[in-house]
Amino acid sequence: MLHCMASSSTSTSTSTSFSYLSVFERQKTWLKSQQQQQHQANYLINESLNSLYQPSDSHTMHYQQEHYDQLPSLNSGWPDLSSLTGDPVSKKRKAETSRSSSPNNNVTEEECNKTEKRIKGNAEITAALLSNHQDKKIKESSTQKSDYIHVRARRGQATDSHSLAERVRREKISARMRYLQDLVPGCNRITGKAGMLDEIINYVQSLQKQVEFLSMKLATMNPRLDFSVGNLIDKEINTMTMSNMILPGIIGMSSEVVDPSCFQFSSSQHGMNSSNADLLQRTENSSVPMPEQFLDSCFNIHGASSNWNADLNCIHDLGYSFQFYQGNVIANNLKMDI
Amino acid sequence: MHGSNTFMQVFFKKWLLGLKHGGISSKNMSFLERKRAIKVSADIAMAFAKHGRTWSQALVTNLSKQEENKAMVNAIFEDVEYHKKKSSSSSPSYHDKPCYNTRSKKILRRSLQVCSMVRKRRHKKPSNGVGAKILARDLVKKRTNLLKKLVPGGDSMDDFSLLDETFDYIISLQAQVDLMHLLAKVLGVLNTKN
Repeated sequence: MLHCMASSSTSTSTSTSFSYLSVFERQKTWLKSQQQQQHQANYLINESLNSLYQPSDSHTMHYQQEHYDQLPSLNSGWPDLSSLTGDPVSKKRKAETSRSSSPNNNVTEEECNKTEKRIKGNAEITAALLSNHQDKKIKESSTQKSDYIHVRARRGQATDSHSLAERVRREKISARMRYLQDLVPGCNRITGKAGMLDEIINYVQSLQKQVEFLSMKLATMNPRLDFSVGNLIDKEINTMTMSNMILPGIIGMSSEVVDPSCFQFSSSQHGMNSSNADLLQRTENSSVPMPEQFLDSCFNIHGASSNWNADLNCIHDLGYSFQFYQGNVIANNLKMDI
Repeated sequence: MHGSNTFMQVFFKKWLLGLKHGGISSKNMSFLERKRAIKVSADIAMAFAKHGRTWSQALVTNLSKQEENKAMVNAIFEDVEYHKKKSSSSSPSYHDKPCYNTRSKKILRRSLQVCSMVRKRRHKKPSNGVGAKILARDLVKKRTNLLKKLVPGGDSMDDFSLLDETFDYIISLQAQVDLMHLLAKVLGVLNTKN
């Protein structure tokens, strides 16, 4: 009897131990899946942070330039940032999280920390949720990972096709609104469509007014805007190469930096300026085609010299072209020693 | 990175081309005329550089409706050789297609509005709990309409693609502003040099 009880107790104990084991195993698999997802989340975090900490000095031109050519291929190129900032349950992770197409490059460090915290918070929430929910949930989230068109109904929501389509549409729109939120400065605190739309409208209006004002400013400047110049660039300049960030380098220069450097440059090169000016004035007036080569070299010159020298060279080149139009037009190639 | 550079390059080149075509250096131009020519050439160059977007097509269409801009449009769009074939095939589409689109969609929208108005008069919605929602929806609607007026070609777009086009348009506007700043800066430096 006792033996039986003992054996039964051991059997029960083993059975309970087995049941504990099974529970433990299940927990293990949950933890593993959690860890996987956290790893993925961390990978995404690292990717985004790398893109954030790219050497974009202070200006929005950098990330914008990355957008210029990528926007035509919009639907495929944009990463789905909802995995970073969206709610934890519906994680739609696409295979491509190309860092260059993330519109997050111009955020400051505070925002970096904010997104980091949000992502970490989301990861924690996913961990908590996953540990509390049943296997069904995990399956759902894992299927949602693959392709964002196949959306499964969430728990406790309507399952007919109309509301599903509505939900997809709404999520697409909210994703777009988030991108716009990153684009328009000062929109981080604003939630909701109406406020965001208001900010967007104000921003577009302000940009359009800026264009008007700048065109007025350019009109007041010397009427030397007639760029009918001949081939200014000689072959030497064409062969020179420079980093292709020259234009954003110029744009990114603060005004304090530009003027002294330009003046410095001009004072050192003054002799050359005058001699070249003489040369120019001797040339004949003629109508010539656009200096395609000149502009090409302006934008594409690479150089062993530092960025600053390169930028100054470009301004110098531009400067020469602008100097030439007092009605005089260059017919010959002009050799410039740089 | 290199691709982004080509956008700015194309933009700048075409802008200078347009300026040259507009004959800005001629002394006959008044200040306002000159300003207008600068702005129009910048807009057309921007639209050209962002070829293929709805807003760029609509912008060119709107600008070429005015007689004085047509020459500049032609100059910018048909001056490059390898674009000749493209432009000759697409130039009718530039002028015609958006118009047809807007017309048909306006008719559709008006009929829908009439239907919805009739429906609203018949079924009155419950008032109190849903009032805030209706208000919010109205606000969003008003602002979307405003945005549609701002973005060129926005009238004939649904909500989603409107946001898409707005994003692209904002980026291009920022590029335009930066380019103009750059040019102004360089000219300013030159003016002080001489």
